[in-house]
Amino acid sequence: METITIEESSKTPYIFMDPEKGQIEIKGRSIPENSIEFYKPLIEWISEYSEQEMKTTQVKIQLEYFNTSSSKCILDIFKRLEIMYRKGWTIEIFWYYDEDDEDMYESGEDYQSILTCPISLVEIKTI
Amino acid sequence: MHGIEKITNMKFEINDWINTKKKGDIIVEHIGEFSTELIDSILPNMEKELNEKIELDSVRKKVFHIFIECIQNLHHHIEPINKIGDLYGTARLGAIFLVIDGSFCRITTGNFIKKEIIDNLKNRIDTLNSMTDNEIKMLYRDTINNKTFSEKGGAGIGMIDMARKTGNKLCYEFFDVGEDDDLAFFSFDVCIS
Repeated sequence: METITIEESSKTPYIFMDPEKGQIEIKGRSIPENSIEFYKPLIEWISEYSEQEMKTTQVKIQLEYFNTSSSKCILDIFKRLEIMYRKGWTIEIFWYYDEDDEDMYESGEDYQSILTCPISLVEIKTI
Repeated sequence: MHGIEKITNMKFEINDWINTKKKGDIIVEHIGEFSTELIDSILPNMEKELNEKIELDSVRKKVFHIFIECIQNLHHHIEPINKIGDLYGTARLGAIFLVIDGSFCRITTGNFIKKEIIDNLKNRIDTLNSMTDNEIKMLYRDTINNKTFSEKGGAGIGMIDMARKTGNKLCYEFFDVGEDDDLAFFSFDVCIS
């Protein structure tokens, strides 16, 4: 399986998905007009990854902005990870938010309320 | 401002509507098409101006977030004008304004829609306006979890999100455009305080 690396753009986030290390990272802005198209290869990657040998998987999401269509796509990713979690995978999801960004914190809470897979909300202190 | 405003014996004039919305310190004003390229060209300048004019990070982020939802709604949902001719050089005409007016920011959008969706749109906004903050939060979670989305959006999630993030009522007007029996003009205001 291949590692996916996508550089950040003005409307799409940095993506890093490493099957060997069991790391998934989404960072930056996710505000494309075509979120479904952007996230489709990521969701396909997770499908393939879920058929590999079970391993501890760390998922780090650190978004500055995301639109509502991206929020649905991110939920789709989480739901696939949740299926893996139910099958016995160790899935560690970290949702980062700036200390003064109440909306981003609440988005993390939304996902916590929808999913049974644990999500850690991690505050980033403003320097 | 709520409710359907039927304009009888009077032609809807988009320029009159535009003039009523250009109150305050205008950060963004665009009337025309809403292509991806156009959106890409508006966002950097808008962000720069917001950085200069809004001190609080949390408010600035909220304004930016809601502006994205509004402008992408226009990108996905403008109905082309058929009978009333091309205005402002395009059949896919929409408008967006971001203004700072005293202690609040207002984002206004205007676009042509099919008359057949007015009742549904009106009901959705009226329902949101009648809900408590907690009810809106639960509706958001239910919608994102259980409803089907397309690239154009889904189940009004954008409006639910705006109502939730602003905590303010969403204001709207529908105008008969007369010359085109199938279409109405939808004027929408969201305020961030």
